[in-house]
Amino acid sequence: MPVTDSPAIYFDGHTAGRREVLVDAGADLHGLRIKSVEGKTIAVWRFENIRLAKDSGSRDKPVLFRIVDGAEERLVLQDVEILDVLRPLCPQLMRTDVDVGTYSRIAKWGVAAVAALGLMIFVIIPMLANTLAGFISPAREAAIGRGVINQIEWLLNEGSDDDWTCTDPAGQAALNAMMARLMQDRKADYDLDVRVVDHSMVNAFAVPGGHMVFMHGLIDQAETPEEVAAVLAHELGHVVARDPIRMTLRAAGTAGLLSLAIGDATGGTIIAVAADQALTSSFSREAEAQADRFAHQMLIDASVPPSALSLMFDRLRDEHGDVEGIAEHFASHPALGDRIAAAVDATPKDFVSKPILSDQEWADLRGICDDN
Amino acid sequence: MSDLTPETIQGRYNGEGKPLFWLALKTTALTILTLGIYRFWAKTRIRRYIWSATAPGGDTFEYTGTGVEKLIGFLIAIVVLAVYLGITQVFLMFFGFSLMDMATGPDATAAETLAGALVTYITLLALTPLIFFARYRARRYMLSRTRWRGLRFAMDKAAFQYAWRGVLYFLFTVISLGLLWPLMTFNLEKFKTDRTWYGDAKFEQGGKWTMLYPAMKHLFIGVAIAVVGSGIGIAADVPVVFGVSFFVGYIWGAIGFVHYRTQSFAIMARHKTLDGEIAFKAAPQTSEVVIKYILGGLLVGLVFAVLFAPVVFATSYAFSSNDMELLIGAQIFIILGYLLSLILSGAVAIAFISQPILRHFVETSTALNPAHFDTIRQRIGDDMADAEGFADALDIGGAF
Ligand SMILES: [Zn+2]
Repeated sequence: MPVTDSPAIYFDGHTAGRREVLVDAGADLHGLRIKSVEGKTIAVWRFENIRLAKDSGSRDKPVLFRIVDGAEERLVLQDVEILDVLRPLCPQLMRTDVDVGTYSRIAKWGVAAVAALGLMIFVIIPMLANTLAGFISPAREAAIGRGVINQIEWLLNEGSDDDWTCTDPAGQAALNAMMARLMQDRKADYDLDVRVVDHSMVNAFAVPGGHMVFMHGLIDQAETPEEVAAVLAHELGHVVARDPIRMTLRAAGTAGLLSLAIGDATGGTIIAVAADQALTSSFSREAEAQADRFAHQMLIDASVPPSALSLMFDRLRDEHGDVEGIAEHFASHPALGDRIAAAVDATPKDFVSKPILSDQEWADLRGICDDN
Repeated sequence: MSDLTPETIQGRYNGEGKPLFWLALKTTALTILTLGIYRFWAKTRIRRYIWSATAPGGDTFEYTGTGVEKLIGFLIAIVVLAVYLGITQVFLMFFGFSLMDMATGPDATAAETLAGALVTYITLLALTPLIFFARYRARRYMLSRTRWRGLRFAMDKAAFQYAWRGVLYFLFTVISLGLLWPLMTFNLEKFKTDRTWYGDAKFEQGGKWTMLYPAMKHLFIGVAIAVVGSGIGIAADVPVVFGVSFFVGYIWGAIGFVHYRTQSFAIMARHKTLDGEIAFKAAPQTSEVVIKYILGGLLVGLVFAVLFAPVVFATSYAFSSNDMELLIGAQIFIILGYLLSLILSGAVAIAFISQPILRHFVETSTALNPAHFDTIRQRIGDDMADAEGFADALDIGGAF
């Protein structure tokens, strides 16, 4: 059924002038004829070029336009029913036109985005972090480390004002003796500071500036002082390699980069946080293996069997499973099985061990938090 | 024709709650199902609806942006942002550390903690100029994809200039404890308006920044009640006075905030001109806006309650039964409930909060001397390959 003299509003696309027009449409016309009210033809739009603006918020004002280079006109139908006539005549009325080359553009930029993220995260930021870490003096790094410890205390100690550092002098003396035995005549860039804090978590970590923190839970779980010494040797490995400061700079650089790509209001944030965590741990895997190797040598030099490290890890695995449940530091360590094997391999055949602490010293160390 | 042209044209809004609600529901669901990829198309479709529902003088706006160009723009922005953010953040952290050198003497630990906290907010520091940059580009993109009576809008390229001005005025506002907020509102809006075009006609923002102070009246009153009242309460040691005046001041201040946003927009709209010939009137009522917020908010609350009552009931049953399988089932139920409530509350908020408020703004706006529109001519398009990718990547942007 053809349409004749249906009212519409016409915008010519050249000026903002508004023009009342009449529209004819029918199969015999091969197009939509737009006429002035006097009946003079203004334009004819071929049916296959006509498109309807979608998702309209004005249901009684459908807007038509045509896909022809340089054509910017708009036609607003005043009678909605004409659409029913146009639908069979214009097979592409609802078509979404995509420019040629759009898909290859998406592919190109998609690859570029992934490459840029990968390059930054795995090459440029680590390089930058390592270089800049070299410009930070040990004194400044020590100050940074104190700031970090304060923050961790604030986070883990639930903002409580109680000092959480364990201060029993005999316990601290035992810990210092252990460190001196391990260090022997090795030199570090900083004044080393190892402390125990009153927290049940089974964990130990090194922060920038030569500070090492043992959570009391770890000392509780250890069966021999050698196991504690093994963990201390591992942390000393981090300190000597300046891992904490490099990792901190690195983490700052990559912070939020992934959430750019994944994060949006609908739950993507959770994925982004998880991905961030996975990233951090993959970073440090290399550093961890390095610290382990350092620890093995240090333990052998101090006449402590390197297997102590593996015993400690064994116990952690029995207690906590491979990774799950152990605080973030250990979670970022290489799979425990590999480390245990490495520790056993490192022990020489003719190895003679000497106890690292006397029974009295070991008792003192275990009781370092008794006053807290 | 011009003898038929009226003296003024009045804003009209043809959108309805139900169709927009369904559109929003459908597009949000698709967004979740596609792990977020559909969000570019979702936003585009919502805008098409809103734009085409807005009809000054009966002629609708048209949104010509596409989801594809938004996706490409997003990917481009990722490339730029990865490089910018990665490098700036490492350097900011490094310089943050250098600040710690100043931390000596007895106050050292306090200063170290402060510097530590500062370092935590490094991302924010790197992001602030970017946010202004992204906002400007997003507005430029939206204008370039907007048509009315077949003619394009546009905004000049000036995102960098806008970004440093934005940071500067933002600092002024923070340092002056908000007293210089009108300076920021006015100058940033003027910066954008003076670069905005409709066809070959340019917009211009007249007036002075101080004309926005009357709009801040209720904000000042709210703060005064909270500060003075709770001060008296503390001095006299009467907790009730403290609590009541703090509460009243808080509510008054919140409404005062809406009042400022509404009325500063209206005052500036009344001082805008197009091509030096067309002027505007705007008379939105703060009370209308506040009522629409409250009614819409109640509706969102109701949807949540209806949706979450069974979730809470089932979950507490599962927990009390201590049955492992039931517990896992309850967890799945909670996640589904969470997703569903995300979809629903977003759709309700767009259709029944944002839309009614927009309708009020549109319907209280008028353009004077519309005969002059007939003389305004078309302009060529603004390509903008990055579309509003920066705003999308940084997840900033308004209701629509
Ligand atoms: Zn380690």
